[in-house]
Amino acid sequence: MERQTQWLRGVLDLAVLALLAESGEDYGYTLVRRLDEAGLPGMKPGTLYPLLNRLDSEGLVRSEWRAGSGGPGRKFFLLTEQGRAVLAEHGPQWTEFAKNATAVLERGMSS
Amino acid sequence: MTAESSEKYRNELMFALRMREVPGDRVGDVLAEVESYVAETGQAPVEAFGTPGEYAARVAEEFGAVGGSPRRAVLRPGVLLVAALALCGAELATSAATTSEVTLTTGSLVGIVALLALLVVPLLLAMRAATELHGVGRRVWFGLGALATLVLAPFVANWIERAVGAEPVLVTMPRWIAFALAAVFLLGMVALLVRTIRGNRIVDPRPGVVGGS
Repeated sequence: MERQTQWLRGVLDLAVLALLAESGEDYGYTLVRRLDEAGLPGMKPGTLYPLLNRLDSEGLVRSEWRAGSGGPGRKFFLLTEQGRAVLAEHGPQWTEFAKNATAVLERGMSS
Repeated sequence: MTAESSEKYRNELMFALRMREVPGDRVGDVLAEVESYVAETGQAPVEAFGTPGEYAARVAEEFGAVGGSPRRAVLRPGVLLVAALALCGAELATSAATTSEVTLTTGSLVGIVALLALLVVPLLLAMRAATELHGVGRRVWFGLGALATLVLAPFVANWIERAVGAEPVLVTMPRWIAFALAAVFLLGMVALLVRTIRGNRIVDPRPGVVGGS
């Protein structure tokens, strides 16, 4: 799990942008759950929230607090056009990188 | 998880964020995020976010605030100025209350500076006690250290003052001038504190939630 958490840190910002691109908007708890459901487990909110706020300050996402129904308010994060552009630019680079890394590992494992 | 432990975590996180010079509006936002997540999941805040000290360090790092050691917060000029004004005001007021003519000697000046420098030690230890949460034992030792150095500091400063001696006399002033100066120093300290607190108030960003700390 420790190793997986390390891998995830390398791609977390892009993964979050990608999840927000899919849903349009989301809040912290469901983002943690969706990462988990997507096979990227082990993400703690203590890591995710500071990242989301950095993306917010960089203009890649936008955040807004909304009143909860009976419970506490929720902070929603929405993907901005700039965030979409960053995902479009760096997403393929990561995919290429991951593909190359996978190829190296597969060659090593099959030899 | 109990409401009491959540409240304790909240207070300790708030303190740790303040010590890392995270601005008040940002502190309010972080506290609301933690509270909202914990209420939604029922998870213990330490389990979800780490200890208050660790989480504050991570927030400060991502936010690009001071980031480094919370010690810097104690040593920043604003804190030292408030402490200096308080000490000088108290020293002048005490002297004016007990004598008709107040004299400022090299020894008393060195004593005040020494006390100011010595008070940094209990402040640093108190901060470690509040932000180092890896073990209760460590917290207790840091807390006891802070208390001990706080009690010892005036004695050591007094010893330094006596060692330097009462001569030469730098300034002599009548009691009313000393009182007036003490009032200026103390009012200056209060004004500085109020300005700092007002300018950096913690506000809960959630709609419909009234609050600040």
